[in-house]
Amino acid sequence: MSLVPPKLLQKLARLGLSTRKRAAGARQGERRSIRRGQSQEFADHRQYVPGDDLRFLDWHLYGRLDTLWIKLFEEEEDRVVQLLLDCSESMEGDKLQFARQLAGALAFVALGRTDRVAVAGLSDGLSHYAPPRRGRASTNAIFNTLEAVVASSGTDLGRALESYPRQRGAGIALLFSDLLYEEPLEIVLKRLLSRNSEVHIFHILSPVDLRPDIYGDVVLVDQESGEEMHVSVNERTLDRYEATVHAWAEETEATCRRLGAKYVRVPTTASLEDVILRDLRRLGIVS
Amino acid sequence: MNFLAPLGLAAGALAIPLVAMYFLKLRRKKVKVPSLLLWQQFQKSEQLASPFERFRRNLMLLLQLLALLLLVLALSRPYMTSDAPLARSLVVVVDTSASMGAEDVSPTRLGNAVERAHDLVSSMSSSDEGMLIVAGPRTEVTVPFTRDKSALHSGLDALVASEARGALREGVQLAVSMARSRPGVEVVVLSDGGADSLADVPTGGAEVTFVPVGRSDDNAAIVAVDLRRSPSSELERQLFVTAQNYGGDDQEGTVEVYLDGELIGLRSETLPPDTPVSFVFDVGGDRSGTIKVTLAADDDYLEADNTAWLALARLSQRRITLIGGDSLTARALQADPRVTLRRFAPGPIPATILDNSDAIVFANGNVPDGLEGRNVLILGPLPGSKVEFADEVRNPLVLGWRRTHPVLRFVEWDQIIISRSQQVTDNRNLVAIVDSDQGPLVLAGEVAGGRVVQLAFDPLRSDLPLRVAWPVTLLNAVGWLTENSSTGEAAQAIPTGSPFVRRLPDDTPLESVRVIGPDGNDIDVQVSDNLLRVRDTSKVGVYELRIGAVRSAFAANLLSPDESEIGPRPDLVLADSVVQASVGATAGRRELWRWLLALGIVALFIEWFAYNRRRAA
Repeated sequence: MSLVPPKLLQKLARLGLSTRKRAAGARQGERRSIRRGQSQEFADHRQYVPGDDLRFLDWHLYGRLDTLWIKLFEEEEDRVVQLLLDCSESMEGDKLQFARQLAGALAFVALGRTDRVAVAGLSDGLSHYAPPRRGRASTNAIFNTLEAVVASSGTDLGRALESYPRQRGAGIALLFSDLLYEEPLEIVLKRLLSRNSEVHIFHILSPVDLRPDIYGDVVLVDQESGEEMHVSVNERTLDRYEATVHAWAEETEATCRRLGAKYVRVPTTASLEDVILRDLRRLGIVS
Repeated sequence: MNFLAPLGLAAGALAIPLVAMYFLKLRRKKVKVPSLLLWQQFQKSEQLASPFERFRRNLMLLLQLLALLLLVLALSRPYMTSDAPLARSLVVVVDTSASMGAEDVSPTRLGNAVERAHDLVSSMSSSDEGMLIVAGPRTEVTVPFTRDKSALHSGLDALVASEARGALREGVQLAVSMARSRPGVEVVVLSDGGADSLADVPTGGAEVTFVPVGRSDDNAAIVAVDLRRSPSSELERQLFVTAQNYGGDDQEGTVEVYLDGELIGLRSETLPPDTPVSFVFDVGGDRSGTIKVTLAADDDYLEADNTAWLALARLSQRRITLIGGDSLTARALQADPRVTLRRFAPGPIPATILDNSDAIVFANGNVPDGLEGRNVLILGPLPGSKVEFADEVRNPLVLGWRRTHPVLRFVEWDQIIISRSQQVTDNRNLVAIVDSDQGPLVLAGEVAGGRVVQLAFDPLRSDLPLRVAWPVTLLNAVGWLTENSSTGEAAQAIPTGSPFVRRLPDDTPLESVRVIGPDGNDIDVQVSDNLLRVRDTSKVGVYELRIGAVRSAFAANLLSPDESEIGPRPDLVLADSVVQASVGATAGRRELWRWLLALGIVALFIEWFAYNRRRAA
C-alpha cells in the first residue's frame, strides 16, 4: 500500500516546490541559479574580455556602439530537497505517520521536477539517511525510506544535524517535527539556514499535544525521557494548558519568521490533501 | 475556650491514617504524553499565577481534614465562658423590693436586673428549663418551671418595683428548695442585697449565683412619721418626722408637710451621714384629711422613701371597758380626756358591751373566750390569758425592754420592783416587750386581727402602780390597742406590704366593702369573720376605705431603714457558702459542640459533593 494515496498523487503530479531565492545548484536543472549559464533566457551584458566565448558576442550592439559586449544567460540548476523527519519517541504514532505522508507527498512533488530528494530521520543522532535521488522513478525508493523511519530514543536535533552529510549545491530543508525538545529552536534553524537557501518548518501537533484526553489525578510520563509529573487535571486546567500550547506555538512561528524560515502548523487531524493543496499553496511552498 | 471532654481531642490522631490513606490512594493512573516540556512550562506559569494551586488540588484532603477537625472538636465538647450561665434548671430570683427602684443605674435597679435576667433566659438552651421567682413584699412564683422562654420573658417584662420592704430571704429559700426535688438547679439572685440576713439559709446543693445591681448608697429618706398629742394641749397634735441621710456626705434636706394639699409646714436642715434628724410640726386636733410629708435632697436615688402619708381623723373618743380593777387603774385610764370608761365586775360580759368597746381591760377575774379580733389588755396572769403560764417565780429582774414599742414609750422599767411573776411557756404569737431574767414580763402583739397586751405579773405585786410609769403604760397600751379601731387614734398608717386589718360591723356584705389604692384602682379585699383584710398595700400612699356609706382612709408608708439604706451588698452569705458577686455578669458556659457538629457535617457534604462532581466530570 502506497504511503500517499494514489488519488492524491495524481493531483500532486502537476505541482512543484516553489523557491523564492536563487542558489547555486550542483547539476543542471530547472531552477534558476545564482550563476550565469547557458539557458535560453537572457540575463545581462558584460564587456568582452579576451578569452570569452565569441559565440556569445552581441553583434547587434557591436554594430550600433562599436564596442564588444558579451551576452549572459540565466543558469538553471537543480536543488536538493531535504526531508528531515524528527523521529524521536515524542513523534511516535499519528505524528510520525502524518509526517511520513506529508514528506512523501512533497517528495513526490519535488521528484516531478529535476530536484533531488534526500531523506533523513533525526532523533538524538542521525538514525536514518537516504542520499539524494532524482526523478519520479525514485518515488518508491523514497517512500520506502520514509516508511523505514521509526521513532526511537530522544531528541537532539543539533547533534543529528551535525551527523547529517553536507549536500552539494543549494537545498531546501523541510523539517517535520513536533518541536518538543529543550534545545532552542533558533540554534536548529540557524544550523539549517547556514546550509540551505530555504527552510520550511512543518510543526506537527497531535490532539494529545493540544488538549490531551485526561482528567483527574494522573501521572504524566514523558515518552522520551520516562520522566514523571503528578498533575490534577480538570476542565479549567485543560483550558489553561491549551492556551499555553497555543502561546508556545505562536512564539515558535514568530521565531521562524524572524529567521526567515517558513512555518506551517499541521495538526494530525487535518486532511493531507487540504494541507498540501490548500495551506501549502496559500503559503507558496508548492505551486 | 476550654473543653469538657479533652480526651476527645485524641481522636484527632485519626488524621494520621487519613493522610496516609490519602497518599496511598494517590497511586495515580500513568498517562504517556509525547513530552513533559509543555506541561512543565504550563505548571511553571500556573504556579506563578496561583501559588495556592497546590492546595486547591488537594481540596478533597483538606475538606476531609477540616471535617475531621470539626468533628473531633465537637467530640471534646468545647465551651466558651459567656455572660450568661448555662443551667439545666435555672431559677431566677428577682428582688422587687423598694430599694430596687433606685435610679443609680439606668433605668432603675429593677430595670437593670430585668435586662440581665432576659440575657439569662435567652442563653438557655432548648432543653433547659427556667423558673421566675419574685421576691417583693411577698414571695411569688410568677412563672413555674418551663422551657417556654417567651413565658419567662413575659414574666420578666411584667415586673414592677414595689414600694415595700422586700422578702429576699423567702425568695432565696424557695429557690434553693427546688434543688431538693431536681438535680442541676442553678439559682441566680438578681438583687441589691436585700435587708434580710440569709446566713441560716442552706443552699441545699443548688449552685447559687449572685448578680448584684446598683452602685451607689446616696439616698435620703423619711424613716419615721408619727402623730402624737401635743404635750401642751390635749387638743393639739404634733407631727414627728425623722429623716436620715444614708450617703457619705452632708446634704441639705427639706421637709414639707401638706394637709389635703395645703402646705402647713416646711423645714430645711443639714442631714449629716447616718444620723437621724427629727422635724416637729404642729397639727391642729380638730382637723382631718390626708397628711403628705415630702423630703427633698440633692443626692437621692430612691423616690419611694421621700414621701410619707397619714390619714388624719379628728381626735375621737376611746371606748374602754374595764373588767374588775381598782380605782387607781380606773383613774389612770380616765387621765385621757378622750377615754370613755365603763366598769364591770368580773363575770360574763354582754356582747353588746363588747361590740361597743374599742378595747377591754381585764384587771381581775377570768378572761372569757370569744375575744378574737378584739383589743384586749390583760393586767396580770389571769385565767384564760392569751399566753400559757407555768410556775410562779420570785423577784424577776428586768433585763431590758423595747423602748421603741408604743406601749413602753416614755417608761423606764429598770427601777420597777416586782415580787412575783409567772413564767411564760407559750407566747402564742405575742412578742415579749419587757424581759426579765425569769422570762417575759410584758407581751404584746396581734392575734386574729385584734391587738393584745398581756402582763405576766400582777401589778399589785409590784411597785408599778405607785410609779408614774403606771398611768403612762396604761394610756400607751390603750392608745396602741385602739390605734386601728374605727374610733381610735387619729392617724392611721401601716408599713407598705403589710396587710391592713379592720373589724367590720356584723354581717357587713362583701359587696359593700371597697378599697381604692393610691393610684385610684380598686384593690382586692378579703372579708372573713367580720374582719377586713387588705393584702396588696405595696404602694406608698393613701388607701380609701368605703364600707357602705362610711368612708375612711389609711396610709401605707415605706419607712424602712433597711430599704432606704440602698448601698449594694458585695455578696450573699448563705448558711454553707458565701456567694461572691459576679462582676459585671454571671460567668457561664456556652457549649459549642452543636455548631461544630453542624459545620463538620457541612464540610463532609461539600467533600461528597466535590467528589461526585469530579467523578461525573
